[in-house]
Amino acid sequence: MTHFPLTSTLKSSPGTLGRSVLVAIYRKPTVFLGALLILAALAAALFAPYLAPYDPEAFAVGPVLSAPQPGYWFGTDEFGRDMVSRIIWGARETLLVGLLAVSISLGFGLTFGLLAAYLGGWIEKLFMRMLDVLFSFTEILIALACVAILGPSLINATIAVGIAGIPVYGRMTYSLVLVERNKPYIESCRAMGAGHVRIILRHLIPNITPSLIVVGTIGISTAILAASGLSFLGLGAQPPSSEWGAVLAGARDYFSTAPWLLLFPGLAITLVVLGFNLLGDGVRQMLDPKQNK
Amino acid sequence: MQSFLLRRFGVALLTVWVTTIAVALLTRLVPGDPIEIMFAQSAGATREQMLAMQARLGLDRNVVAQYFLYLGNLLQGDFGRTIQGGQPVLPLIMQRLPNTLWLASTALVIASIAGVTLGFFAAYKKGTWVEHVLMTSTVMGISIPPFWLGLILLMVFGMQLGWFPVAGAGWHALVLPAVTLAATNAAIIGRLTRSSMLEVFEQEFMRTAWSKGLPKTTVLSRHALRAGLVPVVSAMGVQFAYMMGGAIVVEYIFSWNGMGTLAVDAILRRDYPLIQGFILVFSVVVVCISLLLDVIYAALDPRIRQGGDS
Repeated sequence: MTHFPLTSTLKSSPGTLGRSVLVAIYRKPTVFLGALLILAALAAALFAPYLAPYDPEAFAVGPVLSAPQPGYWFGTDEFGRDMVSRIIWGARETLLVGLLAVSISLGFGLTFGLLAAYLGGWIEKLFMRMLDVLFSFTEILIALACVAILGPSLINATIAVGIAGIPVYGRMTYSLVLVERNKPYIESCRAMGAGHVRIILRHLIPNITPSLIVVGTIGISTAILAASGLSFLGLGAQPPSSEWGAVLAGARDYFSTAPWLLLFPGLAITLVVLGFNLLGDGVRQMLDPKQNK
Repeated sequence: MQSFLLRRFGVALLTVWVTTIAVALLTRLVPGDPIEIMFAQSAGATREQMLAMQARLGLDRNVVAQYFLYLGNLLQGDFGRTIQGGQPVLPLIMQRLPNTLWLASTALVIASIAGVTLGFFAAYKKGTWVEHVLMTSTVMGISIPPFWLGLILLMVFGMQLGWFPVAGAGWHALVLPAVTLAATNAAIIGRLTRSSMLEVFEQEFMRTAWSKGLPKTTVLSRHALRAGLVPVVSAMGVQFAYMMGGAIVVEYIFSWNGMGTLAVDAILRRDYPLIQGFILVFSVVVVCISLLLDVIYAALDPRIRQGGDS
């Protein structure tokens, strides 16, 4: 579920979206903070082998269950693994899961929503009833059912979160296309003899893309929360993975003896999710003046 | 109102029907041999037991026959038996259901009160630091993972301060899980209330109310809040569904004896009859309560009550 609904198609083309993002970062400190958090996570994910002081899965690189201290700034876990290294490597898995899950939701949601809105007729009716049913299932139940079928693993949890998000993006695309479809420029395209494929690929999709990118950015945060939640329950990433939800699940057993183990993975998830929320919402507010009265 | 109710009722029926199909055929979608996967974790399962389970689940027949076998059993109140322990599934779930409902509804009440208060003041104090602080806190509320928040609350208020029990039943043990579950939705309801209140404050009838010289509290509570709450109340059904979903994770953290803990265990042990029962009961409960909340809302809103269709 996205918590920041759009009221209309965002007034932007793909070209100006990039510029709008930069302007938003420059003008609003919260958006700047969001971009900074995402950049930090991206840097950790891309350069993990160079940034992490130790192998994230190597045992006994330090003392067992040590509190944060110089050399081991986030402490060490029950196997003497360095928490700084685990968090840095975990960024890779966490971001990848978020991106992949949103890609699945967006890919299928876009296809279904676009076809339903553009073609109309019984396809549209069927699509709307399907949405009604899927929305009353709630996302978490869909995700749990998928994991129950596929079995617990990180990739299966990612697929499950992706599938659970399809209705959200389907409905989003559907309402965006519905607005665009009836605009005069589409009508003039048709009058000039453009075919359905051309209208969809050259005109409809480019015009709804900025809105979908913004919604997708916010959606990454929801996907990361859902997937790390599944890992926390033991239904996603399995030990010795350094995915943040899985690390947090392991830390749960040392709740009273080593509370720092709980602090850092949770904080990492919160900050990355906050980053995507702040950036996405900031850009949305700039491009969607209706909500900003 | 009739067309609105008919449509809602139709969707509810359709959802329950689709759920029975999805649940009955769930085991067919499992990659590999579902029977072997099910019994992989129970050592010493005999060949006869496996064949009996295969027949019980209708996996030795075609899809249509399997569905009607499952549906027939359901209608007789037979939801199957668990793989491990061989207990009947339905009583096992029904025994846990009240705890989950209790948790979800308490959290919904907390989230609504906190969210409406927060959103109302953010809109009333528009453009001041109050609005900024409140809105920033809602973004935090949406970003913080509930499972982490729960652990932190447990550590601070359960272990360090010792104000609330770390696990157990009863209203005292309910406080921390309910607050954890309510946090995200309080933020969502807060944002919803704020934007709805901002719209209401600009309406003509508000200017009229102010210019009549009514006291401030009357204008704000009788005129503004009542109008501003409409979209919030209409979203109650959706909010409840999210509470039920979120409860699964929260129950696990607080060892709350509800349906969620049972479901997570069942998925880990790949106990398919129990998973099937859980999905079915969960969605029927969510559908029924959402329907009930929508009907109450429709009955209260004159625009729907007097023949309009939303």
